[in-house]
Amino acid sequence: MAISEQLIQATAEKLLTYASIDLPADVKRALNEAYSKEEDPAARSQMEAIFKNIELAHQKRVGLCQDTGVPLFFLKLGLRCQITGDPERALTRAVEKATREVPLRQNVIHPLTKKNSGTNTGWGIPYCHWEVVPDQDYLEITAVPKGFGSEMRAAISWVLTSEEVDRAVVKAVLDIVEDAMGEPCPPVIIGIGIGGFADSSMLNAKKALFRNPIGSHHPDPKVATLEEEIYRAVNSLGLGPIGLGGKTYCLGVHIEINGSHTAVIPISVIYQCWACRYSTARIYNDGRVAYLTHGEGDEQHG
Amino acid sequence: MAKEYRFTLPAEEQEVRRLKIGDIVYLTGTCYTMRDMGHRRSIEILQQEEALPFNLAKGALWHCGPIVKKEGESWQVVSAGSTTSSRFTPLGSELIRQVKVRFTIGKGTMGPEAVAAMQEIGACYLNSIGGCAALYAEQIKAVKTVFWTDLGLPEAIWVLEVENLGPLVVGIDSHGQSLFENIKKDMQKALQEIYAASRLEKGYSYTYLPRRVPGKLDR
Repeated sequence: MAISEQLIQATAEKLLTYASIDLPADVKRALNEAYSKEEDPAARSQMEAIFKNIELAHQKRVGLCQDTGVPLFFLKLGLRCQITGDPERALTRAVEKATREVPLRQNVIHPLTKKNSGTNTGWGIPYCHWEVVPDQDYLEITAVPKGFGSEMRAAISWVLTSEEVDRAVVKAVLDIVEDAMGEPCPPVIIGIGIGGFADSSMLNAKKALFRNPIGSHHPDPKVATLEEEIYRAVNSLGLGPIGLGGKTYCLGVHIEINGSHTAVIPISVIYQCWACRYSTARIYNDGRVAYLTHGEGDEQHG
Repeated sequence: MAKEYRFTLPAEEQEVRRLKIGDIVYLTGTCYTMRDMGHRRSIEILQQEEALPFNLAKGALWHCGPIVKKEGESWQVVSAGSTTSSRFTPLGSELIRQVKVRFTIGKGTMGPEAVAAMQEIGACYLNSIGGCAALYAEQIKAVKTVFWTDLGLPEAIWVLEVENLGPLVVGIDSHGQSLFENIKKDMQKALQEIYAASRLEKGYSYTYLPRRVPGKLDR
């Protein structure tokens, strides 16, 4: 048995459709919890509009947000599975088809000429992050339509090891929040990567955005304490759900760490808007597809 | 106390002068979408002292790139919501002054240049809720026409017939007030308390952090 290019494409099409239209249950739960704590009447009515939007997108099968982002896939390849054909070609075709059929907004342009491909593909897009998983017989695909109102607020800064690193992290996040305020579409999730390299710290920050459940803590108690401190701090600024006042600015602060150089430590911070859209499935070597965030469970192919 | 208003577009100056920050607005009539490339092209046309191919005077400009689909010969809006408005502060302010745009709709806010332009001509900035594109699409009744599709569909100027587009919150009124600036002042007060509680030294840089905004440095 093997996983075919066709099955990867069909699965990815479904994932892009699910992700663009319906939020994962965990995100909806986090929004509901935030709403239950919100006291400001204007902020409450803004959150009610968000719930109405979620319901309308679900009923009408349309994109929840008009910014369906730049397509990104996180892939985990079990080393006991076999793939026939070209998986990235399958993902590219899935994006082209979803762009026509969901439809998605045609967002992807050449970075210098600004020419729009019209397909959301081209010049290395969809972007694929591959990881290998030993001893597993599945390919796990997470489709992420990442909006750029939140993406463009990402920043990296560097702290010298002569400084108190945890204070520097708090300050780095507060500086970004002070600058961004309501622009990245709160209630947001804040992902932070501390340590490692420039690229790996930002990748850690981005992966941290999709930690499930939202608001759960890193196993290292020092990291967990820092997550809690930042969460409380950013929610006490009075920014609220659209940045026009209220309690609910942030649904969760998630930090990931890597070992770092003894001289200097990168701190990467990135936002995810409340429309935290992603969808995950595992395709097993025997043709079974398990949808983990959306849909009606497993499908058997072949 | 915030009031609720319903406007039919185009809107006259004296009507808009009544609005104060925090008021709720619903718009009916023609609305034009515009993003980065559309702003640039519009300003280039105006700089050559030529007319824009669409009539924004006294009208509503929406910082929005909708999801659209073509059915037969006609376009339909599938989802439509706001993009981040601060990007349009320099070019948008010029447009407001030159073309007398009455309402600018978006998310976040626009900077002091826009506040001044709106005060000058009698215009407002209206905050929508970011991400609520299925909701606002319900209030779009038709696509009247589209300009500049060569910029790509998100960047094109979509001329939309809207009915009770809203609720929109007056974020900048025509009297020089900005809701966002008020929130910012409160935030900065709260930040001082947080700095103290978090053992953060005021006026001390802990990191190298790029914090520049595009545009002229003296802006």
